[in-house]
Formats: sequence, structure tokens, C-alpha cells
Amino acid sequence: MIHWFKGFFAWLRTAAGVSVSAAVLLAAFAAIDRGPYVLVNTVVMGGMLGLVAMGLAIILGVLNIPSFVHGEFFMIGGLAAYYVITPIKDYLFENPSPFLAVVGPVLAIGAATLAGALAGALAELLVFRELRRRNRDNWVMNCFLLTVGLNVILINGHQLLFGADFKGIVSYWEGRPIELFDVAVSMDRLLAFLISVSIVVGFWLFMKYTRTGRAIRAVAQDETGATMVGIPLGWIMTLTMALGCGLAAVAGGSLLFMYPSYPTVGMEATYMAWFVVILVGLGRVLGALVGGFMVALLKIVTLEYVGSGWDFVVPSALIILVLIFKPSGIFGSEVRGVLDQ
Amino acid sequence: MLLETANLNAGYGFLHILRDVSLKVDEGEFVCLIGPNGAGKSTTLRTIAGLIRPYDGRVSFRGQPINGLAGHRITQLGVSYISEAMNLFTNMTVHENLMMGAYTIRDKAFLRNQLDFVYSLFPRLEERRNQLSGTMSGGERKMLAIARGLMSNPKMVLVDEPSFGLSPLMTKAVFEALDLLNRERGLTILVVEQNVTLTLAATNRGYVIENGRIVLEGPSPALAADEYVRRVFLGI
Ligand SMILES: Nc1ncnc2c1ncn2[C@@H]1O[C@H](COP(=O)(O)OP(=O)(O)O)[C@@H](O)[C@H]1O
Ligand SMILES: [Mg+2]
Repeated sequence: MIHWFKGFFAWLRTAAGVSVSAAVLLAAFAAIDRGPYVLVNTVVMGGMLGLVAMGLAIILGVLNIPSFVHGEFFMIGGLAAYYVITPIKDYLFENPSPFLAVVGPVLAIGAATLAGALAGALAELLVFRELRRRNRDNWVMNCFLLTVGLNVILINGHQLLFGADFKGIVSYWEGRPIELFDVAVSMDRLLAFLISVSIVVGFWLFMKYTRTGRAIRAVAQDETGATMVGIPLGWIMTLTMALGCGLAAVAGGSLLFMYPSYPTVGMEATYMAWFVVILVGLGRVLGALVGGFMVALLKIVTLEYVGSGWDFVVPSALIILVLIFKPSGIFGSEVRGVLDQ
Repeated sequence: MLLETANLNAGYGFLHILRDVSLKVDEGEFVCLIGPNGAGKSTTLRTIAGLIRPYDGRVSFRGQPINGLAGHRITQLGVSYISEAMNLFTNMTVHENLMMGAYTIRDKAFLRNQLDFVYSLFPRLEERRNQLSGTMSGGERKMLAIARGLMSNPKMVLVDEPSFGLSPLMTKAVFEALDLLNRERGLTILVVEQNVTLTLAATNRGYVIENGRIVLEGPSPALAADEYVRRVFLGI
């Protein structure tokens, strides 16, 4: 028991401990001062941001790609969900069916995930695999430039094919909001939260206990070692890219009621995910989840106390401080490849 | 012939290292490749293991050409490479590293067998099974690297400098384990070493490589007695 307390107090003094306790205190203060809805918003937004950032972190850790096209997979997710849910909603308007009303959103979010994962796998096969085959010098820089290029292509592709207007929905579920701690939480938010929790748990179990999940971790730790034990690098890289992009897309699909799909909707997701990844340290996949909640809290508290328009400035300022004083992030960086370059 | 290379030329980009390297290893043999630092010993093993693509020449395993295959395919065929740098998964435990070594094995019972076998070979690893491999001593890491390489039940192992960074006592233990594997399990071994005396005493046959070329070959006792080898490597 005493041993446990000692360990806990030692942890409190580390960068991770200080930041996590500061976040908890800030959340408690805001919740008491402004009301529990601050917490509800933080948890919903944090869970989703956590998913997007975990995707970015795993792509960084396994493929060594600093992706600035990550948010565009969030955009693709929203777009796919929109084109699945809209006809279902139209149909439901004419023919009410409680079954379809429940299954529809699930289908839409499933389609979003699949579309994002497929687009990610395609990007890996068509772009990054080709680069890997030809030239591994300056890998990180070249990949960074490639992702910026892909970002432009996808944003303009969206505009060209689907137009620049907002493609969104008011809500997935018609049901009345649920009362939680005196806060009315809409079914959509609840669903978003449940999705993020179940995906994080599933993802963790997958990485820890399955043969393929362990192989992904092995590739992140030592590519040569992974080849030596018989792991096919190409397949693991494509799969990881699909998983990482799928994580961004499932968030885009789940949050369609808040963020309608339009060409540049992914920009915010990209920047927010990068804030998280820099905050916790590159390649920290589970840390990214914690960081997701912290950045979401910061954003929401800023909206509450400072005003809208500042919700981008305050996290950016924090990231500049992190980069100056703790460049390896609060949990320390795990990515050797990126730092070695 | 289990493994054969014919006129292998390989290197790194424009840096041509191996020139017409031809060597043969028969089933059940314990063969060494010795030579000075920078001669191309590791490059030879990396090329056979599929980590480097040869410029030309042929590598065949059990009569099938394997040059040009990806590294993981060569492991799946039964050639396990244990590198000088070990390439362990440093954020995984000893046990997890061994499980990764058995990536190609799907039969659970067989996997258990392999695990028991490598733990009996290196009991120290079993004591350390839940320790992160990155936090172990050099000797323990070397044992783990060898044990991980054996988990896939290879037909043949390519071992790069097993004695590097080890105490004489540890080196002896590692060579005894290799010898045991060769004699009792019929494992074919191609070992690269700088510790020439010990290696020539342990192996059946050897090749001498210098500047990327094989300059001498023969039974290990004959090499140990060879005028040239004694002058260059043993300083006699
Ligand atoms: N990754 C690499 N890139 C470029 N040159 C290398 C690389 N690895 C080894 N070399 C060069 O290849 C030559 C042979 O190296 P190596 O096969 O490791 O020698 P040995 O194992 O016999 O000491 C050396 O001159 C070394 O500098
Ligand atoms: Mg060497």
C-alpha cells in the first residue's frame, strides 16, 4: 500500500503526472464553475480526438510517416457517412421503421470507417510503398511533402466531385436527449462516446493479444528484427495505414452531426491530432488517447472562458511551450526513426 | 546441398562489397566464415537472409533459388538469421520476443514445445521471462537473440558474431549451445566470427573472406594449421 502511494507520488512529479493532474484540476474547476456540461463535452470531444490522434500516432510509429493528410481521412469518413445516412433518412421519412432508424447510423458510421481504411490502404499502396521501394533516403521529409501534396489533392478532389457546400445532418438519432448529471446529452453524443470507448478497448486488445497486433508493434520497434522473424513488412504497413486512417474516418463519421463534411473540414482534425501527438510524444499510441482528452479540455475551456476564435490559439501556444521545454512530449517519445533523421 | 551461393555480388548502393562469393553448406554441417573487420562477413549473411538484394549471382536453399525473395519469405522457408545487432524488440518482454520469434508457427502445441526447448537451452531466459528485453545485459540479450531465432524451428541458422561483446565464459556457453544444437538437433549452422581460435575449434569447415572475396576454404582443423591463417588471424 505504502509502496503504491510512493510510486503514485513519484509519478505525480513527472511531466506526465503534472500535466494529467493539472488537466484534472482544470476540468473539476470548470465543471463546478460552469456546470457539468463542460465535462460531457470534453469527454465526447476528447474520445473522438483521441481516436484521430491514435491513428496519427500509429502511422508515425510504424510507417515513420508524419502525416499532414490525416484529417482528410476524417473528411472522407464524414462524406461516406453522409452519403449513406441521407438516403436512409429519406427512406425513413416515407416509411418509418424503428429497426432501420437504429441500424442506419451504425451502417453510416461503419461505411465511414471502411471508406477511410480503404483510402488509407490505397494511399499506402500507390504512394508510400512506391517511395519505400525506390528510395529510403530522407524518408521522413519526403513523406511529409507527399502528405502535404495528398492533402491538396484530396481537398480539391472533394470540391471537384462533391462541391464545396456543407454536407451534414442535424442528428443521427431522433430520440430525446438523456439526462446525465443535470445535463441533456443527445443520443448522438452518447453514441459517439460509446463508439470511442469500444474502439479504444478493441484496439488495445488487438494490439496486445493478437498475432497481427503484436506484429504491428514489432515492426514499430525494429523493422529488421520483424523481417528476421518472418513478418511481412509490406502487409503490416498497408494494414497499419488502413487502421490509422480508419480511426480518423470513424471519428469523422461519428461526428457528422457536429462537423458537416466540406472540403477543408479535415484541417482542424489534422492540427488537433498533431497537437495531441506532440503533447504526449511521437508514437505514443495509448498516450494519444489521454492527450486527446487533455487537448479537448483545453479547447473547450478556452471556448468557455476566453471566447470562440481562441480555441485554436491556446492549444497552439501550449504546443509551442511543449516543443521548447519538453520536445519529447509529456510521456516521452517512442519513435526513434523520426528523431534519428 | 542445403545452402549454396554462387558468384554472389552484393553491397550497399554504389558500394560494391561482395565479389563472386561462392560457398556451400551441407545439411547438418557447422560451418564458419572468418575474416578481418570489414571483409564482408555480415554483408554475406544479410544477403543470404534477404535483407540486401544481390547485384547478381545466386543463392539457393534446398536447390531452390531464394535470391530476390523478401527477407520474411526466407525465414518462412526455414533460414533464421541472428544478427550482430540482435534487432530485439526492446519494448517487449523476453517472453513476447520469443513469441514473435514463433511468428511463422501457428500450431499452439508445437509453439509450446519450442518455448520449452529454448527455455531449457537458456534457463536464464525463463527466469527473466517478464523483463523488457531492452533492460537486459549484453550476454542475456545475445541468448535471447539466439533463442528467438530458434523459435521458428529453422532448418538452418545464420549467426553473426555470437561472441561479440560477451565475456569469455559467456562466449563459451554460447558456443556450447550452438554445438549442442548442431549435434543433437541436426541444426545446420553458418557462423561468422572474429574469435578465430574458438570458432575453428568448434566448427567442421570454414571459409576465409578478405575484401569481399573468399580466399581460402577447408576443414576447420586444416585452416587452424594453415600457415596463412596462423599469420593473419592468430598472429603466430
Ligand atoms: N549499411 C551499410 N551501408 C553502407 N556500407 C556498409 C553498411 N554496412 C556495412 N557497410 C560496409 O561494408 C563493408 C563490409 O561490412 P561488413 O559486411 O559488416 O563487414 P564484417 O561483418 O566482415 O566486419 C564495410 O566496409 C562496411 O563499412
Ligand atoms: Mg560484421
